[in-house]
Amino acid sequence: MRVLVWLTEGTWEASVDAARELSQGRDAEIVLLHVDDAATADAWLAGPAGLLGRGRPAVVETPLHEATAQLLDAAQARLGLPSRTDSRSPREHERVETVVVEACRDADVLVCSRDGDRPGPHSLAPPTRFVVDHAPCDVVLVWARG
Amino acid sequence: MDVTTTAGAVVAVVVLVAVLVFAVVRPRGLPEVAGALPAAVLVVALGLVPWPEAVDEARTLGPPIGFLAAIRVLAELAREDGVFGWAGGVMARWSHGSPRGLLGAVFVIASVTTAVLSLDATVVLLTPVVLATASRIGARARPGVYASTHLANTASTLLPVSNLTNLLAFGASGLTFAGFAGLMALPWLATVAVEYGVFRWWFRADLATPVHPVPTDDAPPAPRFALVVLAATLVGFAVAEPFGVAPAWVAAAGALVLAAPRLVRAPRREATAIGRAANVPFLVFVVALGVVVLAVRGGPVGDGVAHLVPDHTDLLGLLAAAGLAAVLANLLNNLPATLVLVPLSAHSPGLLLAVLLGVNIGPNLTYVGSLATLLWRQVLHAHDHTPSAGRFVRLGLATVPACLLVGVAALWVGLKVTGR
Repeated sequence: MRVLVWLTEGTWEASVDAARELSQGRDAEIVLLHVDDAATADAWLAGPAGLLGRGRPAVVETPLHEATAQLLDAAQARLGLPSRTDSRSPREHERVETVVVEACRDADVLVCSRDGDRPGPHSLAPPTRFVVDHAPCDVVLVWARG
Repeated sequence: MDVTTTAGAVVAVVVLVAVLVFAVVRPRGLPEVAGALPAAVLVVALGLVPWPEAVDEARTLGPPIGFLAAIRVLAELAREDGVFGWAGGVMARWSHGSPRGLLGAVFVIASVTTAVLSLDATVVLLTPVVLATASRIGARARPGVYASTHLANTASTLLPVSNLTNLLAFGASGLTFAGFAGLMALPWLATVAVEYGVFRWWFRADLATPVHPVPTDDAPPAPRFALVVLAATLVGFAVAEPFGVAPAWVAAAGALVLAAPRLVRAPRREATAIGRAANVPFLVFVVALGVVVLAVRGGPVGDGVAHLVPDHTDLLGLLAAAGLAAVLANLLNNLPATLVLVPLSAHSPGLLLAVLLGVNIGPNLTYVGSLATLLWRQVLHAHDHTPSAGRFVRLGLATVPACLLVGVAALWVGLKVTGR
């Protein structure tokens, strides 16, 4: 069984815990997936670009890759089972949710978390709702927990 | 060549656009001044700007850019003393681990940082701390990073020192430091509040993630000496001015007090670091840009803009001034927009402050001006991330018109109350 675990900042712990419960005692191949948030990178790059004339480099590397690496390390440690990681960045016209759906093509089960911890439609942000609606595999959707 | 002829006006505009294009693209990594300085020499050599006027412009721009150098050094020294690292700890503590709490804390800290240490400090020194703090408390970084980037513009209206645009206008405004701050306090509070409301709604999904415990083990201690020096400098701006002491000297004194212990320890290394923080090439860039803008201002383009500047300070007049300023800032960039509009609105403090609301808040729509945004995307295209103009323009559309409307209305109330 191929289990894809989609990790997002703020809610990834619940997904990892659910993946562990689902996989224990089974022949499961676990992949921890993280997709960079392009919108955060936009804001990160736009600030320095706005300081015209200050001699800032035209291209500033975003530190998001570093934050992603830390998140994936923490998730592997919390999972405590053999797993591999998959870190992706949306290309120009891609969105986070389409990248996740694409990654689901090789999976039997997708484990992901709601964004909020209060019942109601707002507990699913639009990207998560898109993934739940379009994932070609089974989806395990868990409540976000701190 | 006469700047009032069509040929002269076209050359002036082409030179200005070339300076801006060079500054964004920075071919071979050359500093911006490498494009602006030859351009300034060219417009003087062609006779588009008479030499004495160029010298006058440099004299007018001298005090604001001297101030800018001092405040940049002060901000950098504050960073080295741990002020920003400490601010990250404060934001984490105030948030109680809640993403909504963190957004509120970022709004307070980023607004104060921008007001006191200028928008450069918020963009360059505070934004990385906001990102790190979001990671530390398990919150999503997006709302905080956008807040920091937006507030670097929106919250830069309070004091003459908060934005280079304010510094450029302050000398012409005839206002005192305290008078400027007094009239801008209400618009500043009102626009930050509007921005906060829009952010709470816009990022509601990111802010709904659960509360995480705040790690308490690695919070850095308060850098008391640096904080006291910053507070004293801020008070000094307002107190020293009636005695004829320009704010530049107060900022320089604050920087000197912060630098003194290090200058004693390692004089040569510290002096080099201070020189780098002062960023002399940028100061020359501003003067050169001022001279190039003078050529545009003196021709038909300047006359055209002058006709658009309203001549009365009723609510509609103020709104028109702010709107015009925001449009110009988004067409070119807010620095040339300020250089064009300040002399045209200097006869009325109300109009001048409305222009400042426009040139300061307006850039949240396209950040660098639409021309530069297009180029900037091309520059980044070859790298791992191509920014989507649409994403931040959409947020800008949700915040900028509302902030301008509310900010100008608040300014109008302030002008009425003070009888200006």
